Amino acid sequence: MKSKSAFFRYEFLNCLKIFGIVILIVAALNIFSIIFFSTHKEVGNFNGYGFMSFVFMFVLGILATRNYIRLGSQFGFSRRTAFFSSILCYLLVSTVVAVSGILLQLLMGNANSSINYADLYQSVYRDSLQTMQLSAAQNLTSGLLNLLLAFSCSIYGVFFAILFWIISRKFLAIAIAAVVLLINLSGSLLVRYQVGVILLHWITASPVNLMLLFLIPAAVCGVISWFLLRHVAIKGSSK
Amino acid sequence: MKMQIEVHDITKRFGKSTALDHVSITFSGNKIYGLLGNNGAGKSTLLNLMTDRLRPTEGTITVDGQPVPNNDAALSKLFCVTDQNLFPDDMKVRKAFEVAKLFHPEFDRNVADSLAQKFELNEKKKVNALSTGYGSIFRLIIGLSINTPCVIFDEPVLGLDARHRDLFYQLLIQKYADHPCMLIISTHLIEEISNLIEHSVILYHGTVLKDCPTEELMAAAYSVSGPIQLVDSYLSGKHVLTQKVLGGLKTACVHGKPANRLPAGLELANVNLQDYFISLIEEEESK
Amino acid sequence: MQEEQPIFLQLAYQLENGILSGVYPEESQVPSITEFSVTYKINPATALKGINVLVDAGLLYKKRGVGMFVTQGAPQKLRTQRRECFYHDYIEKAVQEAKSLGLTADEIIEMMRKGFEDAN
Repeated sequence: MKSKSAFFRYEFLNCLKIFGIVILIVAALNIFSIIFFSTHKEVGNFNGYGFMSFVFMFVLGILATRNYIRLGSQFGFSRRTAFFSSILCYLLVSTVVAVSGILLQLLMGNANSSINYADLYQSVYRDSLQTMQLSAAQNLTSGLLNLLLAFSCSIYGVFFAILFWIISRKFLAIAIAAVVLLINLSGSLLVRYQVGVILLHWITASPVNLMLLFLIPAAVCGVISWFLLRHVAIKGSSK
Repeated sequence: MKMQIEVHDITKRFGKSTALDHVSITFSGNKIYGLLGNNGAGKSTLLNLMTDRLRPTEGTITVDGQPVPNNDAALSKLFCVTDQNLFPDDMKVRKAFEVAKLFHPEFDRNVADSLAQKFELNEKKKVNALSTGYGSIFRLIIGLSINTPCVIFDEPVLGLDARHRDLFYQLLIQKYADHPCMLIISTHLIEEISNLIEHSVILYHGTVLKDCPTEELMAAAYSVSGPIQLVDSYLSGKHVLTQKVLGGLKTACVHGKPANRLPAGLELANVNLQDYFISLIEEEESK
Repeated sequence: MQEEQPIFLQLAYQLENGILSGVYPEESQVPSITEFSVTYKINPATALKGINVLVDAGLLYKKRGVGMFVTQGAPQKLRTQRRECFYHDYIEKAVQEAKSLGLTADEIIEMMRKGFEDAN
């Protein structure tokens, strides 16, 4: 259907517009740091891009998903269409985000030698202080890692957006408390029973493991979200 | 092909309360339908189920034979204007018109722009910056310009001032004349639209009380007035909907058609839709 | 307009009045169904029904793709029709009311004369 692709295009362009603002800020910060650090002898270190993109996609998943489902409902696009097109859209945006990351990295790596530009991949799988220039394959792996992790985070966002949509205000507080408790509990478990050490070893063994660590829960969250969406009463946000 | 929406044996419960109880209605053809009922009768719930914004507890709803859940083909034939704003808060009115055109190529941007001018709606404003009244007007304008096979208005004139109400009704008929389509207007303000609607569906506490051409409804009852004793003797054996006494004068609303000749001293009058509606509801309530 | 009549008859009556008074002269076009329904805020089907009352009576005729026109001789036809109804619609009622008020035939006739003079 022609209008279905129009709906997807709207979602994608809407996301890109938001990302455009974010990337401009990041680029500005980087340029600022080049200028600032170039006068110093010490070595700076930037590895925030990956992390920033994960947060960005998570927030996007939370904020944009409901908007798309609502707007879709107003114009005769079903829940299914709105849901899956949003997810496809987030995958595409994650790709754009990751590619921008690689470009930024290449640019920064060549621009100034006094700053050590390292992303998640270098920090975990390479000695970030030693190897600044990545091979093409390593760049690709770094990008793929960022892509899949960012995409997973967007699914977590979708999950929370829909979960908090269907539960009443009373249960909302309980749900938030439960999530906080779960994170704390798993954190303390990791510390206490050496699980953390084992997990860390497993993660550092291969980037694929880290990808799986994010993707599997994302898949679970995605499936749960789809079933939760059945019970959502689609209502407006304000007036 | 004739546009057809079939509501088949729909029940919707919210927790313990039942909003709709085994409701079946068929909307068919390019008519102006009135969905009438008091607040809480289940009108909005029904419309939300038809547009898949709610899911029924039991039953199915089809548009041209296709069930609505997860069905773009069925859902895109309907456009439903409610008091809910489903547009992103920071979207500007102009952008909303653009988006409407993008998603529904039949949307007439020129009509929308001219209507915005008539209603003095500022297209540069953000949707969430509009007042309650202008929020409704904004959505009404899209409904009047979208040209889907079926357009649904849920309490369209709530929050509109007298001048804008009048304008809306005129524009609605103009739209209907220019682009015949199925219109469903849900309202509890019956008097205003009784001459507009061809077919009436009256909901009462989640059930269908009446579902027939408005003309039939208007002819379904008559009112008789006169001295109490005369009226009382006339009423015996008749289906009386309501009666009122003022001094020695009694007025009764009677179901059915009057006999050709009324006893001397009695006055006969037609019952308008609003009065008939009130009589029906009062009769139900006294049961 | 007569309040208690169905809306399509009210519209028909209004149109007839327009033809009688010369608002719509012979062979002139009357407003379209859409114009009537928008002005009176009534369903176009009702407006059509009202107009068809006049079409059936031979007072209006249809020009395909153009609209509705007043038939030649329609005002005369209406005048004859209304004259026939005048006794039943006005005189009978006036007499009934006059009787209940205790007015005599002479008194009513005198009032009629006065009415005609005042109208001039």
